[in-house]
Amino acid sequence: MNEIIRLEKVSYAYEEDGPRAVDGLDLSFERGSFTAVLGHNGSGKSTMAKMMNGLFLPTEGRVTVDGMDTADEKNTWEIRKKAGMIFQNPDNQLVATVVTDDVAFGLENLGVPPAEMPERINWALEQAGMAEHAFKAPHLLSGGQKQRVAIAGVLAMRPEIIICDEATAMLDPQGRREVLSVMEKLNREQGITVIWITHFMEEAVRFSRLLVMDRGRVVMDGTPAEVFSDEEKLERMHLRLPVMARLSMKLRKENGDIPLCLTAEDLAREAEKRWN
Amino acid sequence: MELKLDHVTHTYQPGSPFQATAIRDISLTVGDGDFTALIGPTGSGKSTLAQHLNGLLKPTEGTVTLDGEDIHQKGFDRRRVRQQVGLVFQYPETQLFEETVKKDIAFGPRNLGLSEDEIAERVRTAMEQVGLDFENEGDKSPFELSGGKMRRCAIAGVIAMRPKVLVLDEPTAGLDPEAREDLMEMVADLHRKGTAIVMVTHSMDDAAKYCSRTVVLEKGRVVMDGAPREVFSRAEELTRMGLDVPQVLRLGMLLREKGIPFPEDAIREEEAEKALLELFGNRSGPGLQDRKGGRGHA
Ligand SMILES: Nc1ncnc2c1ncn2[C@@H]1O[C@H](COP(=O)(O)OP(=O)(O)OP(=O)(O)O)[C@@H](O)[C@H]1O
Ligand SMILES: Nc1ncnc2c1ncn2[C@@H]1O[C@H](COP(=O)(O)OP(=O)(O)OP(=O)(O)O)[C@@H](O)[C@H]1O
Ligand SMILES: [Mg+2]
Ligand SMILES: [Mg+2]
Repeated sequence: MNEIIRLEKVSYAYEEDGPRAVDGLDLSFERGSFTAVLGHNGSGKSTMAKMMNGLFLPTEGRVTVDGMDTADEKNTWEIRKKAGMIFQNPDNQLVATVVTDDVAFGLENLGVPPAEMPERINWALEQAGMAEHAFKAPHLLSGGQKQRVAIAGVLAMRPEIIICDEATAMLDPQGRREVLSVMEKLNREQGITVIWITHFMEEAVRFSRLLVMDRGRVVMDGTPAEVFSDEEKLERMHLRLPVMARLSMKLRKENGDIPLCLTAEDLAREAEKRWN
Repeated sequence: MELKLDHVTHTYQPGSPFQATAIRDISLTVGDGDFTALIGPTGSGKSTLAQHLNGLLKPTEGTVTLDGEDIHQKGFDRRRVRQQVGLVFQYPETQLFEETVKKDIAFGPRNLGLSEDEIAERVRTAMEQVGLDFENEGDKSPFELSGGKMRRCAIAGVIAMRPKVLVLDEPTAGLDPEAREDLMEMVADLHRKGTAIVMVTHSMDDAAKYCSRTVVLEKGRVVMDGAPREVFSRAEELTRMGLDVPQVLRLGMLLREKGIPFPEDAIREEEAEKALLELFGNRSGPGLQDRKGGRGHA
């Protein structure tokens, strides 16, 4: 089976008879895929994400993770083990008084043998760039440091699917690039499925598939080049083109043969071809 | 107005195993009309510094003065600092608590002991400034608002105190692109109307676009301080410490490597647009025919 997550006519309402935060989603994710989810504030991204590891159960419809229905209680632990989630606000997910214990906590819950733990924990802290803070107290860390601890916690669990809900919102530019590079590497080398929710269009261009959400639905679904070729629709969705794409389109108006460029490298390359 | 940090050092939990010196020997002056970006890698002390500006944290060494008076000296009315220097925390919407938007915004002004009329007037103006609708949104619960609007509500609560300095700690984190743009325009507008702004940000593009001064912190020390153009010209050092340069500057470096004379000091999107059009806009292509007046090379 090639689909690892499947949503069938999935809706979610926070209150009975209340508005639907997610509204009739029909969607699936391939095993080993690398997807970014975009959408304005309140468009339903986090609600959808929380249904993909069984944290929320759909009000209507069905969510399956690797064939297992999230609504079936006996699947809960298996699903949590498979699909690791990094939440928007790290304050809500740090539990222990020392960073290493916090990372260990998730492993204990999964029943990982104690002998394996130190190695996994060290690896995860290393990947998340928090090795030097291993023995600090999580609640005394800066915002970005807390976010990195949460990332380490999920990496240590070695899930098959990683769902990042704005996991880099508080990181410095390099931290943001590093964390995304770790995800790229896990995806490329180990076939981990990555679902990356973000408000940064510059990050989105690095994914192979983009989803744009609006009012609980997916309104655009395609490669970055496809999605970013419709600026008008993106603006209606309260989104923007990446800066380089915007510059290339302005130039295209004046000099019709410049194509849509998503990165500075693309734009520089296209410019060079026209420089004589 | 002059807000001044003089050789300020802050150590958290001194004497405990968690002792950590977050900022060291920082001297910094904020004056009327400033729009300062405070940038620095994760954990470099930005939030700690921000909280010294309104007296929320007390220096372990050094002094903070407002118009020449030490704000931590005995007998100094601390409310004066709270009123003149407004601080908007990271994710401030987590601190909303009143039943309605109006009440939440009125909380600060009420503590100043103002009359009901004056409070109502300030709430109305603050809502207008942040782009919230007094009639339609004022009586809603703040928790019914979208993420971007909650953020504005929290900021309105601070603005309603009519501070002379507004300190914002990563105000656009978590906002969608449009909300982010709107919020930055709102802050720029407050600045134009006379409020001094100090903004902690991880966006080099925003620092380049909006600020007149950029202060860089690394490991608790100020390592650079100057106009954005000056600071961002030190790209290598910035990258080494975990920061970055505005995207336009990076584009410029790539273009110059290829022998294209893109201006070295362009850091803003509109500057890049102008330069690119000058370099490429008048070359062959359908856009060319109907344009009068050639734009030569820069
Ligand atoms: N706990 C809750 N109770 C009631 N409504 C909620 C709750 N959480 C979210 N909502 C509503 O559900 C809708 C979708 O919210 P969701 O958090 O999924 O959006 P999002 O796309 O993640 O937004 P953001 O970019 O701001 O994180 C919004 O209208 C929101 O107001
Ligand atoms: N209450 C505390 N007790 C002990 N150390 C602390 C405390 N708060 C912060 N620190 C430490 O002080 C340093 C500076 O933290 P601060 O929050 O000022 O950083 P920052 O520049 O705002 O980082 P970020 O970009 O991640 O928000 C960090 O190393 C942090 O771990
Ligand atoms: Mg969300
Ligand atoms: Mg901070």
